[in-house]
Amino acid sequence: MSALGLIWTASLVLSIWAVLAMGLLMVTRIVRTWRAATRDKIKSEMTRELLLAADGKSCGLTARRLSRREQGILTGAGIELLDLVRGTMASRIVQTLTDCGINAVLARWIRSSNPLRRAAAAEALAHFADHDGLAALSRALTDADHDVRLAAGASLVKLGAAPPLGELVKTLCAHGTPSARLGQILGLTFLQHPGEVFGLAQDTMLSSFVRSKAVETLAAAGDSATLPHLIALARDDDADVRTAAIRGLGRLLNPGAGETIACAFADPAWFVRAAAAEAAGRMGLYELVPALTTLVDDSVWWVRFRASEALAVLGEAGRSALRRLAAQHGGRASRAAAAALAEGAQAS
Amino acid sequence: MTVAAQSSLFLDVVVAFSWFIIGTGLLQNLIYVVQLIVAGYALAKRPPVAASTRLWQRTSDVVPPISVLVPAYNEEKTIVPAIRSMLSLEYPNFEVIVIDDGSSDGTIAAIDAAFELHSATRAIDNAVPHKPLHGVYVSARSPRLIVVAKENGGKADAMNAGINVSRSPLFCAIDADSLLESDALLRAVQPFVDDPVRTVAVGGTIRILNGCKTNSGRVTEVGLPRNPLALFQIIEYLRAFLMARLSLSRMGALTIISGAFGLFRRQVAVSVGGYSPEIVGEDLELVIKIHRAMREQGKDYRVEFIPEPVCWTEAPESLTVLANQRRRWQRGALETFFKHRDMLIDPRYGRISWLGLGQMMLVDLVGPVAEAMGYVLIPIFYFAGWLNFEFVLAFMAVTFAFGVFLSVGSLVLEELELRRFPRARDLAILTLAAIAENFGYRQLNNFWRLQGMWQYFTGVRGWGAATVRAG
Repeated sequence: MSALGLIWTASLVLSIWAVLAMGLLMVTRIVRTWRAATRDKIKSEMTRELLLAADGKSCGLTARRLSRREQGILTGAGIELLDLVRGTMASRIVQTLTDCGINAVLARWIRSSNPLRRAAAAEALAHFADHDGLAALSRALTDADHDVRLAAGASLVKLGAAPPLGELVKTLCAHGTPSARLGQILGLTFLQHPGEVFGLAQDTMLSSFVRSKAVETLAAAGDSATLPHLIALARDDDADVRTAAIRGLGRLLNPGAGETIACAFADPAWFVRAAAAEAAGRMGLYELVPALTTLVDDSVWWVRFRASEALAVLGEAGRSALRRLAAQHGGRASRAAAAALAEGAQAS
Repeated sequence: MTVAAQSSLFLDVVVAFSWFIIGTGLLQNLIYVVQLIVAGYALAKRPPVAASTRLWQRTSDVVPPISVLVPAYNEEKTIVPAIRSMLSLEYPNFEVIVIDDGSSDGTIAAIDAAFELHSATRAIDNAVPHKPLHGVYVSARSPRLIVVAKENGGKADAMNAGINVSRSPLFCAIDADSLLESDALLRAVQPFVDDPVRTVAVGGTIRILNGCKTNSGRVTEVGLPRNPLALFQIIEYLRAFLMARLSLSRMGALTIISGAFGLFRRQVAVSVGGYSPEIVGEDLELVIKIHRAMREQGKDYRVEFIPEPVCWTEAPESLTVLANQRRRWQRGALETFFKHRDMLIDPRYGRISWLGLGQMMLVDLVGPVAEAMGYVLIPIFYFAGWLNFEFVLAFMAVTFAFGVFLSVGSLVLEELELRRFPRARDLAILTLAAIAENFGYRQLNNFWRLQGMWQYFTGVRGWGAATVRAG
């Protein structure tokens, strides 16, 4: 073919492709819209039936054999309902769905090529897992999609069938940097095996991020038994871990952490100093007013801000210190103190 | 030199020009084809997106706080519904900071009437420079709302003031005349949840609001505008976001996050000095600065585009306004390109240099010139008898067919993955628009870009003397 012929052919091919592609998509859209309307109608009927079952009334779902498509729609409707209800109602829905063969559907879904479906199955198996379901969840821990991995991990923890936490975390983080949702799994684990979370926080072979999440989990529990662990972690070599531990001590509100907080005022990392100032305010550590007053002149704005914010909530002693600083016009400490006093006045 | 030699030299010049035009066109088209393929691959490979209710269940307890920064200049008529829209976002922990950039109309009064403002003192981290603040106000009706009044300094300056006033680890840049979908923040923040250590900036999709029905700052029905200019811009935006940005993001070379909707890690934006007020394309320049800083520090980082979070924006429907916008965009691109031109040949910057800036050079610098030369010189060469008519015709046919192919390709991506246009009829109209834009609109656009280049090279800077806009 000549060069000219080639150019004309290319033009024609491109134009025909464009017209055909859009024509096909329009037809697909019409079919898809029709199918979606049908599916929504069936789903709405099934949700009504499931709600009857949740109230302990008889429903028609178990009386007939559902088609494969109906089973899929029922599974979707059931999962959505289980997100909304708890207790006896949830148990009844689980029973109804089990009677309708949801386990077979979930077994198919967790092997599906669609990651959204795999994640939904991994989440739902926390309610339905049998022996095969547990095996499927264990396999899903190495899924290519992070949502599926996290959902499988959380379900296994909820079912008490997860591998040891260190191993679980390593598996979940094997594909790259960990998700912020790792904290959710650590929180679930803490309810059953708090020692494992403490072990994770101490494991210096793990990344700062994972260790910090473990420290946050320890603190979020609000259990004073974690106090010595948090105090120890507040002296860790890793600044992110120290920050998480100091914040955790601030949440525990245990005055036994006062000395640790005071030491953290001199930390080389500014974010640790800022966290310590914030914690001192939250914990009501009045004895630290002089140290906080010094911190209001820190070189980093966030430290000055947190220190003056803490002083503003530390009663008359704190506010007097702020007033004295504010009266020394011109310096950065003076400006920070004045702003904190004004903000405190607005808040009250 | 003899007449024959002169004639031969002239013909050589004609041939050289012709090859420059053809070569540039081919290279540009090759880039677009690669972008289309990569964008298709990226959309096919990325997991389907969960419903926003499920996203909320999964991540609402781990998402970081966000400050939504809304620079506003003379937005008296639109600011109140825009703020209402932002305050009704579905996100667990956010504040809305409106920065009135010295408006000469009643912007502040309108906000005051709707939200009952009170003067307040707030400790402000003067981390990035900006024009002086006149005051900070809080709302008696919504504790999430903070309004900052400042001296006029332009959008970048207003954004810098917002960055200083914000205290959240992330900030979201949004235009005052745009509407965010209610789940847009929750969707846009997902890369920060999935990869909290590396993610530094995320851009979402901008879509055209013209033709859509809205109620209380929400888009209630997606529709198409009757105005052809707005219709053509829908196609342009689909190409820009679903094809170009998605593919560049996938290739790790995304150089722009739209100023109308982008999420940034505050600390990173502060570390590069915030927005540059002297650059009219401050959104583009901020992302380039972030790339530069991260690469120079040898950090592993992500700047990502995700298509699902949507921000709706009003597109210009008049030629004058559209022309001004396009000339400004062109100047912004050139200002940024020349400011960071040293990155183009520096291997330290990896893909950002040869791919990101290389593409900018071809598309924003060489492309408009080559296209204009094509429109002017090829007919001249033909009438002078130096070009074969059949080749001219075939070349023009393939150029237009390729334009249609790319536009339809973006529509295909939209329909396969996102399906935001509710009716099949909309797809038919957009297909016709994708064909029609090649005849007139495309050439006009190129003309405006050339004007933008002319303005840049003749020293025109900023948003123009009459309107220093923030929004």
